[in-house]
Amino acid sequence: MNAPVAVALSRDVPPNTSIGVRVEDTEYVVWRDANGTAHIWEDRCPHRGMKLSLGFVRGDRIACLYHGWEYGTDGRCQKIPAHPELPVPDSITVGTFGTVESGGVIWLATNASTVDEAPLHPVRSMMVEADVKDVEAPDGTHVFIQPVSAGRTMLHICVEDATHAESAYLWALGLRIALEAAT
Amino acid sequence: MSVPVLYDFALDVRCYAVRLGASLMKREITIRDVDVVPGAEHLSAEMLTLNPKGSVPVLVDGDMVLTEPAAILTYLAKGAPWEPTTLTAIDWLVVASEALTTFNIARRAALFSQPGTQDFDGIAHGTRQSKAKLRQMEDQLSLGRLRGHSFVAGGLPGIADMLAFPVFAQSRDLRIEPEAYPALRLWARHMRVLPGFIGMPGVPDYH
Repeated sequence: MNAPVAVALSRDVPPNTSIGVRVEDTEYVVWRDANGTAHIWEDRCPHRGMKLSLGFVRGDRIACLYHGWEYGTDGRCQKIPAHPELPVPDSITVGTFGTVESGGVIWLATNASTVDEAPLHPVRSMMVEADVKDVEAPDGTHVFIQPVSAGRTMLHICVEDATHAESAYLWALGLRIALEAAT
Repeated sequence: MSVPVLYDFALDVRCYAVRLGASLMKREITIRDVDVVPGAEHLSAEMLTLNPKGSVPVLVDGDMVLTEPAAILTYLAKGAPWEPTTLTAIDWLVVASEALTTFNIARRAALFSQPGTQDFDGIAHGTRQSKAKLRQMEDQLSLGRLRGHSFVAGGLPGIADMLAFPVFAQSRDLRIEPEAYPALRLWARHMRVLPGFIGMPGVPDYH
């Protein structure tokens, strides 16, 4: 994968929250710390393999739901509640990925690539039960494609002009009907 | 004023909707545990006399007996800001109630039924139906947000939200991943931060 992939609309990941997303069958946790910075990591706690997306964000750390192991923004484990005196080994680290926020969208950017979208207004993220490669959108409507898994695609829909949001919503439902009917 | 008695099963999502609603609305109820699994107490003569459907929850307040979460919550909401007073609120209350009923049947089968039984064979169909209901609510919330609404039937939380919440929060029991429902996910967060929010087994009460 080379080009950055949209994984969520910025407004759907408020500070102090985490969500699970999937890109081509690989699971990631997208979380936003209390300072407003978004992070995309491997969705797996190194301890017992629990999904970190089920965990909770406190300040600039995300904690695993299972045993409360806390990880800082660099992915390194900072605290193991069951062993408060133990200096945590550096090797306990979650895999982190390039994360870019642009145009009101959070992007998974491997290869240190960048995204430069003008500010856009979010309409919705819409799951389509079909493989989608390209979408021809009306002028002023932007559709960012997230390949989820075989037969499943998330479309992140934005508009340049907020007054067109409802017409874009209607257009997107028509698109979903057409795409799902074709499979 | 008397305190209503809720005949309750802790693992049941319809009972959870009532407990959650009572807590959010700060209504006092007395919980009477019913041993549904494994005891099948809901099918005892005493329970069937109370509720011929043999289902929980049942709310008893004096002479009044209510057996549907939508009716129980509407009763408890009387005079509270949550009370469904508009036709839109009642419309979505019915939609959410159907979603909860559909989901509950499939989830109960997934948790408690044995392979080879009719209940077990219905899980796949019930899962598809539940996904369809979740998508309807996802669409409703996605459109509502463009109009400044954060909850199912508008800007304020209502009974429809209490009925719908357990469906989304426990959907993993049918192996339904929340990734397809970003609007529901954010809405669930709005629900979790409401004062009085409580969880159930499988629904943590922190956020």
